[in-house]
Amino acid sequence: MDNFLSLRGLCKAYDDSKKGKLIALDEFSINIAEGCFAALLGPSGSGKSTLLEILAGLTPPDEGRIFFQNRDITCLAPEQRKFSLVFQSYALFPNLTVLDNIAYGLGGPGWNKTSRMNRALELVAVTSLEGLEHRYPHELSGGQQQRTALARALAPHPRLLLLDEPLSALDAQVRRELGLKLRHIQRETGVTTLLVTHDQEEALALSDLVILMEQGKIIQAGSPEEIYSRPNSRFSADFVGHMNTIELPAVNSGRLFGLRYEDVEILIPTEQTLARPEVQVGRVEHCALMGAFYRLEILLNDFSTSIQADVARSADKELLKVGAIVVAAFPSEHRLQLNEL
Amino acid sequence: MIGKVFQKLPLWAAMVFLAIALVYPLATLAAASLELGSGSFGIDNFVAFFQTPSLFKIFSNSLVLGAVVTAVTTGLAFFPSYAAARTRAFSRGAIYVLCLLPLFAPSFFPSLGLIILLGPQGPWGGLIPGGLIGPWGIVMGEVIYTLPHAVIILTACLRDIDPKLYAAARSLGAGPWRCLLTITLPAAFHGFISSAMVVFLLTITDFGVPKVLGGSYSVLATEVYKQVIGQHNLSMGATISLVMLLPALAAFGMDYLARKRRRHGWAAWAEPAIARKQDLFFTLAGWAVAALPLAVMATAVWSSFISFWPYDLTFTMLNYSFNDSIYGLSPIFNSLKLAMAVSLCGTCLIFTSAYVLERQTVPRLISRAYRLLAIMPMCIPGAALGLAYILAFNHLDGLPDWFYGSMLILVLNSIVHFYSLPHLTSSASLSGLDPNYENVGRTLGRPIWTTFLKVVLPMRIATVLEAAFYLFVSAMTTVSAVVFIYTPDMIPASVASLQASDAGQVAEAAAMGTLIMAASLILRCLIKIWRNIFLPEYENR
Repeated sequence: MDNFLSLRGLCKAYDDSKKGKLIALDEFSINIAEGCFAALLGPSGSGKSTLLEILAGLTPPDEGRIFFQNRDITCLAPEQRKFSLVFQSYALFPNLTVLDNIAYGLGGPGWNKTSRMNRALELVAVTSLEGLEHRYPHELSGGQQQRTALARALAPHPRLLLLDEPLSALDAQVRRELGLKLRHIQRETGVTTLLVTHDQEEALALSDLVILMEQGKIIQAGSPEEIYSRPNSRFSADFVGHMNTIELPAVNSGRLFGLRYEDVEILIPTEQTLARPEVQVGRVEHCALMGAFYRLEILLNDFSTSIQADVARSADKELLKVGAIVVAAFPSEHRLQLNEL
Repeated sequence: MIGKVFQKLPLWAAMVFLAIALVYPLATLAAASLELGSGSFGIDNFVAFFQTPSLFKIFSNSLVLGAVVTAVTTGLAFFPSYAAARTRAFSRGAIYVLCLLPLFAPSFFPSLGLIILLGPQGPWGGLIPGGLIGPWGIVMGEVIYTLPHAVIILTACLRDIDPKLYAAARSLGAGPWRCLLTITLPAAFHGFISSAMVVFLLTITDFGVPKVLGGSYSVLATEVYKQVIGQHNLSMGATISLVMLLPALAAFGMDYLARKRRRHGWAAWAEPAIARKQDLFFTLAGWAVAALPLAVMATAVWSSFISFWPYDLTFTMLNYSFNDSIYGLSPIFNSLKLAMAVSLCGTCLIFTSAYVLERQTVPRLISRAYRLLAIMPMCIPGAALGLAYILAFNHLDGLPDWFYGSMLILVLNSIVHFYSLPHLTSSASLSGLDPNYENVGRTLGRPIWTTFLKVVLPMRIATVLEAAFYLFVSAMTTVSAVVFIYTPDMIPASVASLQASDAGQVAEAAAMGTLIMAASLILRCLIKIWRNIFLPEYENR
C-alpha cells in the first residue's frame, strides 16, 4: 500500500531574471497511500502548484524520481499517466456543453458513442449536475463550473486526481458545501486525491493526510489532528490555527511559549482567580464577534505584551467590554514550548 | 522527441518562409544600395542622395506631406471615432462603417473621385489654388485613404476607457464636455500617438495616390519607381527605398512605444449616458467626416458608369468591357486568384505559427527572433519590398525560370508584405485564451492537436476569418510592392487600374477599382451572413 505513489527527492528551480534562481521544490519526498485524500498546504510561493505540474507530467523535475505502483513514471508523457488535473481556473472548454466537457477525455480505443454517453451521464449524476447537461460553461454558476471540472477530471477513471486550489474562486458558503461534496465523491469513487490549498481549514476538514510545506520543503506531514495539536515547528503552529507567542518572567519560568487563542482562559478578577499561579492581569483593548465566539485583544500588565483570546459567546458580558480588567490564565497542558522546537 | 518537433512544425516553416521571402530579399536590397558598379562597395549612393538638391527635395516633400496628412487625418478621425465609441449620436454605427469604406479599394481609388469632383474639368475645379494635381491633391487623397486606419485605432482606444470614470465624474458634477476634456482626451493620448504614426507610415510609403494625383510633384515612393522602371538605376532605387525606411522606422518605433505604454482597460464597455447637445454636435461632425469618403468613392463608382465624362453623362456599362486596355477583364481574375492564394496560405501559416508561439513552450531566443521577423514587414515600405524581390529573384542562378514572372512570386511577396497585422491579432487572441486548455486535454489523455481542433480553433474562428479577410482585401488592393514584379500575363487589377488612370482612362480605372471593391464587399457580406447564421452560442459570452 505504501508504494502506491512515491516521490523521491524532487527538485525544481526556476530562473528569475531579478532574483536569480527561484527554488520551487527542494528534495521533496513523500509516500501517498492508495485511496488517500492528501492535502498539500502552504503559503503562496511554497511550490505546491509546481509539484502538481510535475506530477501531472506538464513540467519535468530537475532531479528526483516519481514512482507509481513501483514503476518509474518520471519521464512518462501526461497523456499516458492518467492523472487528471483540475486547474484553479477550471479551464472548462467554453465552446463545449457541460456534457461534452465531461466526455472530452473519453476518446480513443475502448470507448464508443454509447459508453461515452453513459459514463458522462454517470458523472453528471455523481456531481449533481442534472438538468445542466446542455448548458455552456458561461451559463453556469461558479460552483456548477467547479463540479463540471471535477466531473470532467473523474470521467476517464484517473489513477490519481490532482486538484489545484479547486475551491479558492468560490464564496464562503458554496465553498464549505462543495468541500464536503468533494470529500463525499472522493470516498465514493475511492480515487486517490492530492489537493493543493493555502486554506488551513480546507486542508484540516477534508483530508486524511496534511502535508505542510514551505519554500519547497516539507515542514510536517501527518493526520489533521496531529498537525493541529502537535505542530513540530513554529511555522506549523503559526500556519495551522492561530497562536500567541508569549514570553513573560512570571510564566513558564520565563521561557518563550506558544498558546492557541482558544486555549487562553479569560476570567473575572476575583480573589480566587488572582490567586492562581501564573496568571496575568490585563485590559480588554478590543472585542470582536467572530461568529461562534468573541475574539478579545488584551494588553497585559507589563504594558508591552498583547495577546488574543477566543471566548465563548456564553461568557460573562463583563469580560467583553472594552476597558474591562480581566485575568488571563495560560493552561500548561496546552502550551507549546517553542524553544524546544 | 520527433512528435515534439512535429508539433512545432508551423513555426519552423514560418521562420524558413520569412528567411527566404523577407530577410534574403532585404539583404540583397541593402547590398545593392551599397554597390557602386564594377564590384566596389560604399555608402556613396546615400551621400549622393542627400547631396543632390533635387533628390533631397523629394525626401523633404515626403516628410512634409506625411506630417500634414498625419495632423489632418488624426484630427478628423477623432469626430467619427468619438461619436461611435462614446456618445449616443444618431446613426453612429453608420458613421463608423462609412469611414471604413476606403479599406475596400486600392489607395488611389478615392483619388479618382477627387479628380472627377475637383480636377481641372470638374464642377469645383477652381476651388483649389494651384489645382488639384500636386501636393494639395496628394494630401486630400491620402487623408481619405488613411482615415479608416486612424478611425479603427482611435475607436478601439476610446471604447477601452472605463465607463466607471464617467460615472464618477458625473457624480462629482462634471458635464459631458468637461468629461470629454478631463477624461476622454487624456485617456486617448496613446491612441492619438498610435494612429498618427500609422497614418504617417501609410502616407510616406503609399505609391498609388501620388502616382494619380502627384503630377510632376515627386515623393519617395514614386521616385523609387522612376529610378528603377524609368532610368534602370537599380542601386539608386535601392538607396531611396532604404532612405524611406528611416522615417518609417521612426514612426514604427514611436507607435511601438505608445502601444507598450498603453494600459489595457479590462472594464466592459457600457452604453454612454445621454448628453443631448454633445450627441447632436457629434452626429453632425461625425457625418461631416464620414461624408468625405462616401462622396468621393460614390463619385468614383458613379464615374465608372458614365459614357464620357464631363461631356456625355449617359449611363453605360461599356467601361466594364475594358476595350481600351490590352488586358481586358483578365486582371480582376488574376487578382482574385492572387487574393485567394494569399488569404488561404497566409492565414494557415500565420495562425498556426502564432499558435505554436503562444501556446507551446518555445525557446525564448526563437520566439523573440520570430516576433521580430513577423512585425518587420509593417515598417518596410512596399516599394522597398518590391524592389528587393526584383534584385533577389530576377535571374537568380539555380532558380527555375518560371518562378520569376509566375503568380507564386506575387503570392510570396503579398504574404510577406501583409504578414504583421494578422500575426499580431492572432497571437493576441490566442494568448487571451486560458493557458491550460491543452494541459487539461493532455492530462485527460488527449494530444495537443485534438484540443487545437476541438477547442482552440472553434474559439478563435472569428480571428481566423478576420485574418483571412484582411489578407484577401490587402492582396486585392495592393499596388506599392507588386508594381515592381508583375508581368503582363498576371497583372493584378489594382495595377491595371493604376495604369489606366495613368493613361488618362479614368473611367476604366474607376471600373476596375469598383470591381475590386465589389469583390471585397461581397466577401465581407458573406462572412457577416455566415457568422450571423452560425454564430455559436458561446460567442455571446
